Amino acid sequence: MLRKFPLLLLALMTPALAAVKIQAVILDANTHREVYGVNVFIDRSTIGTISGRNGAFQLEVPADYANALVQFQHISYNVRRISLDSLQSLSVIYLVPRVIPLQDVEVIGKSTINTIDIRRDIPQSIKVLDAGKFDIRGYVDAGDFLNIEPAVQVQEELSGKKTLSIRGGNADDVIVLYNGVRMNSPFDNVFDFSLIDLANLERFEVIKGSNTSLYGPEAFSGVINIVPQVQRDYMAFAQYRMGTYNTENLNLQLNKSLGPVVASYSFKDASQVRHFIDAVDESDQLQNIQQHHNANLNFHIGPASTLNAMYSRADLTYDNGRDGETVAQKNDVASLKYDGAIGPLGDVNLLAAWKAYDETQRLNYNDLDLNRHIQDQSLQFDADKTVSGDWLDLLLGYSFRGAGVDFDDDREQGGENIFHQATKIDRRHHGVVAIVKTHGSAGQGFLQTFNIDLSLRYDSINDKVPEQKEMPSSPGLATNLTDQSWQAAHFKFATSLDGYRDDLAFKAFLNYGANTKFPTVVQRLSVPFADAVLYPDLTPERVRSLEVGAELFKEDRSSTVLDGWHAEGAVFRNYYTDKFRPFYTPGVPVVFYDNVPIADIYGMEASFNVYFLHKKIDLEFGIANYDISEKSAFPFKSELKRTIDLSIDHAGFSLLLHWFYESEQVAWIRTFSGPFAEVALEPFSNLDVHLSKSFRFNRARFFINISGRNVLNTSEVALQGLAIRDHRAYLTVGAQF
Amino acid sequence: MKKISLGLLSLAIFAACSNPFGNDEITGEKRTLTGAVTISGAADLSGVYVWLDRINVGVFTDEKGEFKLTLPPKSTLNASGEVSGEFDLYFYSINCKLEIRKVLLRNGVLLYGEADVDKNGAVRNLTLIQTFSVETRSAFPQISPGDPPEISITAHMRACIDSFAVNIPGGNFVLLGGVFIKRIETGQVFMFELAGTEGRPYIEMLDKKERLWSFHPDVFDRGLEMGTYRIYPLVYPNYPDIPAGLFETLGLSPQVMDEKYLDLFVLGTFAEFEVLEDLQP
Repeated sequence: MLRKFPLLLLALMTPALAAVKIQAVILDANTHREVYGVNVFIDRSTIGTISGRNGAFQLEVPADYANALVQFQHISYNVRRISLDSLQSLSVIYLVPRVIPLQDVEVIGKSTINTIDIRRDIPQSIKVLDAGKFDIRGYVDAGDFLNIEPAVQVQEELSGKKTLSIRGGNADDVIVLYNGVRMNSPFDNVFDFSLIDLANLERFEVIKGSNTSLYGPEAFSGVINIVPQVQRDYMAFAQYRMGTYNTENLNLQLNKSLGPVVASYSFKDASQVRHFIDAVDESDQLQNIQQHHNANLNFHIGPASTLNAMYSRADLTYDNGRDGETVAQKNDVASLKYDGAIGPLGDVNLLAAWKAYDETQRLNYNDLDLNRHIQDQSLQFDADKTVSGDWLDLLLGYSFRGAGVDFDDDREQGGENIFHQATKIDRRHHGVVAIVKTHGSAGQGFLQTFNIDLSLRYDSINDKVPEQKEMPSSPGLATNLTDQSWQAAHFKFATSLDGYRDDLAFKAFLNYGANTKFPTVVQRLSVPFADAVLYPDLTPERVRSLEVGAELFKEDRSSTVLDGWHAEGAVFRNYYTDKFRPFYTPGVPVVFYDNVPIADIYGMEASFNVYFLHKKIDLEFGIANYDISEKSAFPFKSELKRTIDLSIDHAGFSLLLHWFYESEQVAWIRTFSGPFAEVALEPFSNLDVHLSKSFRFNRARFFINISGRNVLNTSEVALQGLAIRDHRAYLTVGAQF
Repeated sequence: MKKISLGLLSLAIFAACSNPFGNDEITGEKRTLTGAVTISGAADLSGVYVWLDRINVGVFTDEKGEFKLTLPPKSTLNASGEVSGEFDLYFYSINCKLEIRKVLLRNGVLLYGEADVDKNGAVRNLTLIQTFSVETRSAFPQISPGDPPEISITAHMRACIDSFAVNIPGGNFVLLGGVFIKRIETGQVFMFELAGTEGRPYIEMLDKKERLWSFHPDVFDRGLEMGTYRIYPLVYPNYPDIPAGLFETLGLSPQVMDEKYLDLFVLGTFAEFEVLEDLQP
């Protein structure tokens, strides 16, 4: 190490004392991952800096501090003090993780740490899943990763499409944001998680429950905010993965800082080929190809203002040689985001985004030719301003979404046109929101803060139908769409109580609120089940929810083996009215529906973590248990999911064993004679294994990962729309410089 | 530690040369129903029409009574492809009791192990019961150019269960509306219809007592060539509630005589006659 700092040594040896420059990389003692955002400062001084994304820092220490101690402080790690002397011989500094997040960490130097966006909303329990949990573990996409959460259920289709539901709700009850841009399709309000490239992400922020205000009134069971990495301190990153089903996956990233501007680009190329077990010839196969491009420009304007420009494109194709089916999807997102001051106004967030989605499906099966095309474009503009006071913060926000959906379904049989449905809908959605957060004091003892937060939101939606066509026209099914508008106002209430002392932290919360979901295009294209001729328009769905939760951290100082534990739990009730229940009948182009007058989901979620040996070992038990009253409106949901995760991190080795149990998935399926039939898909339990090793060599970092899904014996090889119940194994190698 | 890391890296490089995760086979979506029918007293079980209501797909059983019915890709089912529900699987033949089994679909894919489908996608308990017996007789086992122009054929039917309604399209209480005469050697089919009846349904309730219908086809008029011919009567079981889609998918209608009728399973005794020399109209 000494040879690294010849100049530094020279400087130290010079009799006339000059400033000392120290530089090193800060790593997590267990995972050997770089630690970003560590405050590095001279004890009892204001001289300090902060570690960058590659864990590196540089600090120039004036000569008068020659014998001082340098302190390393980070919210998630034990404080470490090292004398300036010893520091000069260290190139790597290891920090030991803490059980309880450190409070009141004062950040010295520029503040570049991203704050959790979702925290600006009315409070709830937020689960932050950062890159450390997925970037070297060999997950193939966001759906593969999020499936480990007990509250999440992922559904995978043969085409590779992965949809996700939370807390027993449906896939269209979850709002997905990417860098703040709303990703749900305006067509059916569903998002395909296979469109997200994991290697490009910084973290997921998951809010379970429906108590969000900032992101619109449609989040019935949760919000997932996907935060891409906008700043990286390495120059280049490359990763290659291979695995089951001829999976090949290549990721490349380039990154360059130019003064206040950070530019980055990433690329992913992935493919997968699966053969049918009873294949007659080579064409009897499924092929999936994906390409992702992502470009980012992050511009620091002054100390507290950032401008971010992002463009992301994903191309997915699926080719089913057996059925003569191809699906091509293109998803483009461009956004411009500004956080900071505008003139005299501080704390302003502005976002302008454009999103375009294009899906073409072709099928040539026997004598049937099918051409389906869904195209949607949306514009989004969000603006909010926070005013902070001593005892309250007030956020005022406005959001606009304009979306145009173009849907065309054309079918020919034996060369003759048998069906053609084409519709255009333009939707404008305006929303205004006010969030008031109080900062109340609960006293000077263990319980310190008591907050009461309120939000008020008003939404107005207008649909225009410029064009529609339906052939053949059948009574009651044809040309059914009219211009339409809906309005809704919602009030939400949340309260939380926090307690803190050095070895114990506590938080409890309660929230209550209502949400409304307006009919999507798919829903508007449907007709009532009871009477297809009379045509009342759809009633928006509503949910009222109440949630109570608590969280407790305990650190054990007396034991050398046990570090402490963390427990959290929540109970909730979602009470739905007019829940939309679709009924898809074969051969009929439209969806029939009825509104379930009342439905509810009661639920309980809990997790318990125990940490051993300076958090080298983390054992987590998770459970999610729901009671769904109306299994025809929320079909095929596991009401009980249990997980046990054992993660061991030592010296750059990382092992994760993820065991899970999912109870049977029950649905009430409509029979054509009227009543519903109960159907249950079998419960499932299995084990996922992830083993990785990362190591550093000069300035480069390398990693290798072997991971397997469902490694215990399973007879399932078919993908049947159930979350991923087949054997899969992947090998990933990567390097960054 | 470095040695381990290098070991892992070299393992990765080795692995990169050939995909170590060889398995690339999948069974695909569960879109196929299989099964086998059994019918007491029948040697050849081909021709039972297995049809899935509303999805409108159908297939005939083979000689062993086995069938394999494949659903079309889910995207063809409707605009969203998410068809879910309970569907009726029909087993239709001329004189075995119509059987209906329940089949469940979830998002356009079959649910195995539910309703009447077992875990392997096979439909259970498919023993078909004969509803009525049918026998044809010909008064002229051999026909020569000098014989009368019309031959006399009779069809004898009686219910095998207490009673059973049949439809004799274009017929009446004594006459059949049509007969099929099939040349054994070539499979060529000749259709004879009672003039002026337009296949109007004629429903007759059969009971245990044998009844007979006759028909007098002008075989000279059609110029039958030398060979052996078998006689089949035009008779359908009468199921008033059967979905029209079954016949549409089958491409058959009781009102219109079509030689496809002979593809359907019928259990009976069918008379043959021999044409000794080519007949001239």
